Amino acid sequence: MRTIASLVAGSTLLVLVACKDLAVPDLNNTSLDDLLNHPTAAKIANATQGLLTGTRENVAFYVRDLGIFGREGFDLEPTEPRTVTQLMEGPLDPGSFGGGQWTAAYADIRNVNILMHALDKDVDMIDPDKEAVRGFAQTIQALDFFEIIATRDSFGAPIAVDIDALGPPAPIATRAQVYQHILNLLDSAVIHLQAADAAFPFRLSAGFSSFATPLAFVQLNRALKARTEVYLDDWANALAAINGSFLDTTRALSFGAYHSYSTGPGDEPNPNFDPVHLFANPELITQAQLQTDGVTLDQRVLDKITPTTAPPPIDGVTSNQQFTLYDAPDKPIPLIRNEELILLRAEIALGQGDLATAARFINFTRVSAGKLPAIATLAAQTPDSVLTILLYEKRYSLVWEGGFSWLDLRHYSRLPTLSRIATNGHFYLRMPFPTNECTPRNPEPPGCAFVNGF
Amino acid sequence: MRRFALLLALIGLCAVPGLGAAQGRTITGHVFDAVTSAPLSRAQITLKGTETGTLSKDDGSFAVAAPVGDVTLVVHLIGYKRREVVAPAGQENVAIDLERDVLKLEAVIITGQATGQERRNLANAVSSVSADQVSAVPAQDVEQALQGKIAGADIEANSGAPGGGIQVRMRGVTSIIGNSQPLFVMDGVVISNDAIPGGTNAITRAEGPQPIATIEDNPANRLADLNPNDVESIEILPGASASAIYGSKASNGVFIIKTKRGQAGGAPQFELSQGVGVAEISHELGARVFRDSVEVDQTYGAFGSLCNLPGGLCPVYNQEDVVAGSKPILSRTSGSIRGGSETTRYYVSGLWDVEPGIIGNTGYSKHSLRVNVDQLIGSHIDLNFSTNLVHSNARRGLTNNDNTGTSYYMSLFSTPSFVNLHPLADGSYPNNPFAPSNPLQTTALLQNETPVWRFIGSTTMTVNAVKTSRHSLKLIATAGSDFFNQKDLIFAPAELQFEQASGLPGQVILSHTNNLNVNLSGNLVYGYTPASGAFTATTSFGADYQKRDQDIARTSAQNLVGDIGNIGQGTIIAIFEQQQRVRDMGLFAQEEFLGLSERLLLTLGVRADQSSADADPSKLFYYPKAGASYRLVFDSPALQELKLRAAYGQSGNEPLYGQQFTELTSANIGGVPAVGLGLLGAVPTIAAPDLRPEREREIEGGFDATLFKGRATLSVTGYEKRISDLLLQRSLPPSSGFQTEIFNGGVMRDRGLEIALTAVPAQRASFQWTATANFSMDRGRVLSLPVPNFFPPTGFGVDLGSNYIQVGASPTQLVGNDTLCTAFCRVGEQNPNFRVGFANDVQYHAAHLYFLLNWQSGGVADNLTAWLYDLAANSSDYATPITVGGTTVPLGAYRAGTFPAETKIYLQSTTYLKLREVTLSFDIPQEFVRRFWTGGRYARVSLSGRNLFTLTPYKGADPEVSNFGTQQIARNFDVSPYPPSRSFWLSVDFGF
Repeated sequence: MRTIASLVAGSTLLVLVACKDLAVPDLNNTSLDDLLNHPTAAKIANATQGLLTGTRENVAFYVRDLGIFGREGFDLEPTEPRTVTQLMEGPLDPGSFGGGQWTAAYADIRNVNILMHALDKDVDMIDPDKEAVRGFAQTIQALDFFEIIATRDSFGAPIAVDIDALGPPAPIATRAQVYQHILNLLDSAVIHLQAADAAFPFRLSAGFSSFATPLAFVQLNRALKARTEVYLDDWANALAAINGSFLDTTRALSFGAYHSYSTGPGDEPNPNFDPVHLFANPELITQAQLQTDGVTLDQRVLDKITPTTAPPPIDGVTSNQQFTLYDAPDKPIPLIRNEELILLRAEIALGQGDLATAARFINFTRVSAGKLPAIATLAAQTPDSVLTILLYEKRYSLVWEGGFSWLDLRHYSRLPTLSRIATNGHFYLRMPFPTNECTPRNPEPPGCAFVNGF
Repeated sequence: MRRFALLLALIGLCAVPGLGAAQGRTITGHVFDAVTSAPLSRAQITLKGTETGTLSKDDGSFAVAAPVGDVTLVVHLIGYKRREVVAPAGQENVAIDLERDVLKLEAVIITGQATGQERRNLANAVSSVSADQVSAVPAQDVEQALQGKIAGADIEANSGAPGGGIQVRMRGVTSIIGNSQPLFVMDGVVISNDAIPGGTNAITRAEGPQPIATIEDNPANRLADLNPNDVESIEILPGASASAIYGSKASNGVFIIKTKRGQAGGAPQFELSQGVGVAEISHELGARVFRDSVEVDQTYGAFGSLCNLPGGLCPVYNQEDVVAGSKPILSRTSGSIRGGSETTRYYVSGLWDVEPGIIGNTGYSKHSLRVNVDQLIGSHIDLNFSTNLVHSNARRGLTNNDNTGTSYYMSLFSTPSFVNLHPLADGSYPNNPFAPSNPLQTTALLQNETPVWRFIGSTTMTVNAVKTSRHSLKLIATAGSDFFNQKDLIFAPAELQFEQASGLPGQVILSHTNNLNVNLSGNLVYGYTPASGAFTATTSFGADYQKRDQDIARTSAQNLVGDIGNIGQGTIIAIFEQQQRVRDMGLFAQEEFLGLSERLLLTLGVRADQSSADADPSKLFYYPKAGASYRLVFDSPALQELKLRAAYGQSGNEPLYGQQFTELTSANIGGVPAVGLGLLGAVPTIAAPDLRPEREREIEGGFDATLFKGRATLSVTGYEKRISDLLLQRSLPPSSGFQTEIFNGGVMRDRGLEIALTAVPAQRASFQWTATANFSMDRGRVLSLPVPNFFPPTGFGVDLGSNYIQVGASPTQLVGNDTLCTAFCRVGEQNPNFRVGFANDVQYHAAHLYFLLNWQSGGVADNLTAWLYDLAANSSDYATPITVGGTTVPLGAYRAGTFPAETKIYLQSTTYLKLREVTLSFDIPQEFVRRFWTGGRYARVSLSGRNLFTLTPYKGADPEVSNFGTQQIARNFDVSPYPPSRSFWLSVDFGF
């Protein structure tokens, strides 16, 4: 019986001992608290690269959805017909596709804010290195906000989001306020970058190899500012910004910054490498201008589009053309590059009434990118017809790179110049807020309802 | 501490010598069935008030030493009513007939971790299912064998795929995002019932390109590994009032499974069973039949040339029949040996089950070996060893939602009947011009298999430290573990149409999951009966410790160099690992008081639990329970006994591993490391700093009546559950950077009514008839939420129909778009009005007929498969003209055009009546059996069937459907599931 007694005593003791600590660690991921409260230079470097990864989360779908809005290409998935029924026909549903292009961008905006707070802690970094990170981070955050306001436009968007994530949501700021916030971020970033040493205290991925120092990164920052100012029609500031950018007609048109992809473990393949579902709008072929020989299509079409077999139509939408821009899972997506800057320079000049300069940059692009004949009389044409030419060049130079057809045609109220394509096709001016952004808001702001096209 | 001292004092009592048997006479006799007069072996005969006893032999005879004076023999045999027989002095021979306990009033039901009470006294409505009921008709897994048999249990298949995948909901919805399955305890060990997805998402991209595996992979839950033939009994504790003693893992109900054990006395008993069956699809969806090339061109704008019969008529190929029309031969061989002596008993069983699926290249096989050994050491110590080794392999094919048009029905829906997809002369398959894949080719070439090796073992030591007429003290210690390795191998060879088109032909996804559950528990049970015998008080307390470790490692390889299923052949590799580690500790105490001539039962208990899954792993959570029942005895022919009962209890549902952490995701760009929120498609999630278990408070009350001279019982139970501190995953405004928060809050209620009726209209030697019926209904409602109403994380979006967690509404409501509302509104309710199970068991001489009908009334499912067929203009009824607003349009075009503006157009009723089980068996006369083999005990031939017919207005494959797998609320989404099948069996059973 002593055995039993000691068994009982022993097991009771075991229970009491074991009760003390059952804690187990997170075996799968690192924790947010660790970065926020115990930052180190190495963790900061990883989190900085995390910003690029975070902003990349959204890009492919931004390119795709806006490309569909601007009838650059189609996403034909028999099992997900909403890429036609919603994105091309409508209405845009805040509960599904209409609420897209939002969540990943704001997650990255939060990543920037987390990083900025971590930098304020006791980190084993010198101040110029902290400044370099801040300047880099704010530039990326401006890029994220640009994707947000590009899609929501006059609905506005929240900007004061560095708040308790569990508290009431940040108020919706107006379009003008969001754009001003973007400009402020870009300008603030330059001040930080200028306070940095010659080198970044972190590695950058291959797509940023041309901007791998704080000084070079300022040029990228200015390029983004120029793009932003152009959509605000603020031509003077746009000109100032583009002059500080990497615009250079002596360099390759492809010179610029890119989102890199790879098939390596833990990396992401380019989601727009999808030869099964993604197609080019065949009208890009039929509406292309001809090269000097009068036969060959615009070189940009030849470079970017190739024939394929047409799938069964979904609500009248099919295509026998496919993009070759992303014909492998490791092809990068441009963030901003020289060719766009040259066209932005033309657009600024046009906005300022300087038709000669506009014509010079437009013709430069026509010849160098499209192998098209220069239009000698361009400077003498009406601003309206110069704009028509410019929009053609932007459409073909930047197709499937960032939704520029939709952004530009909306900017100049020319969306109806496109074909609607789908049986019940419509055009949109903006996307609604996602349902979850609206649910906690009372009363619901404009932008929470279905958005009907026209 | 005082309690502990008391215990030691009690243990000291062990020194008191037990009562020895007096010298005297030997009583002999025999035990037989009161109705059939068949001899009954293994009946336990004890002298009342002593431990002296014996077991009856195979011929029913026994001999027991007894004192000289009058004695009372107590005769016990499981399945029969207990009897007390007086053997006066001088009478040396007694004949004892036992009545069958058809209504199972005397079955002992578990009420604590180590205590039990007879059903007739129980304060709770506890369902119990016996071995006969589980193995009435061959079932692939235990849950399937329970469908329709338990009041309050909603047991529903997620699809027709072979190898399991079944959700059990006890008394309504008890959790929204917490663990959704009941707790399964087998021979004292908490066994894993995880559903681990295999990685088909890497091919289907149902939830996007990341991660490799998701809940839409149609995984089977691991309960499927059990051999249904090994089950001796299953007791179901449906809610907190009964299950509180299982604490923070019990609020979804507890299933206590006891496996068969050896029997002392007599020769070893062998049982052998061989079943051969055939399965077939029970409902084909069908497809549109096109008349001629004109109709085709009108529909698709091209492809008319494929209608190449004279006059441009279209050929008709039944693609679905080629994919899912197999009629496979099923085979199941099982056998067991039971036997033993007074000190050593054993049960050994084996199963060899091979069941190919109705879709080619799919199927299920299971091989199981069980060895249960019981050893008595001296007179005080009983050791029970249970071991089970299982090897199973489920080949479940490629079904459910996908975004790549690769799974069978995701390709079939857009493939019209005039396309010839059959292999060409050289054996290669033509490309399907209407979908990214040729479903015939996918069926033939794609491999998806899930081999599992599993070992479950447990040891229980019971020390009967004290056993006197007044005191008893038992120490029960159990140690057990459940280990399995699940391998998932999916191989899509490069030849497949969709692999060719992907530009990265050939894909292999390999996953290995190791799971280890370890349980340790100790219990002390002290029973006290005063000398007067006025009452029995049972005090028990104990402690248990559990750990669960799981590690899932997955690799996906694309662009295979050599076209073989080896990840080393890939040039593009993705790797993913997910680990789980949970440590739980519990302490419990319970007091049961049975008095007033065993008419009054009072129970009080409490459990305290702590777990590493909580935000604070050192915090104890308490779960009390209380219950009372009283039996009124009547002397009327209609009513003999009425038991009134009421019980209250609390239980919990602890957070899942990982829910307690706010995590960043690691990634890289071209090898440059990166970390942040929401990378690689991760959902940025905040864990509440005070995350804790959900808490269920349940009160139930009811009565059990014994009617018509013990020929019928009626049990009526009403209950109300309130689940507070719900684990919730609310959506945050995404502008916060986070998408969701895991937190506790809100209150949900379930109210329900359960009625169980068992009747024995006839009980004669030549004709016996037992009928059982159960009825259950449950209404859930969200009473309060600490946050605005929200969409649960699982779903397709409002336009396609979604659950919506809303105060004042049912948690299983569906919302969607409608013309009657501006944003979205309630369009349907998934929860049925009620469920009924109705079984009849009729025995006439040697013939035996049994059937089980299962009726569900109401509820809706979201038939998105129908939508896809309509979108592709390919539904079987697509072209049926319908006149809407003066214009005549094809019905399918009308439906697709109305959707998703009106979500309800594809909501369909899930009312059904299923013939779940039917068996017709014939016992071959024993003389006949013995003529061939003198050792033969019985031989039986049975014809049986499972799910032979389903009557339902539901137009999809099966109203039992869940695209998202084992879910409590986001069920009933029908997206190209594996179709259901019916199976017929011819079985021969031998006993010797």
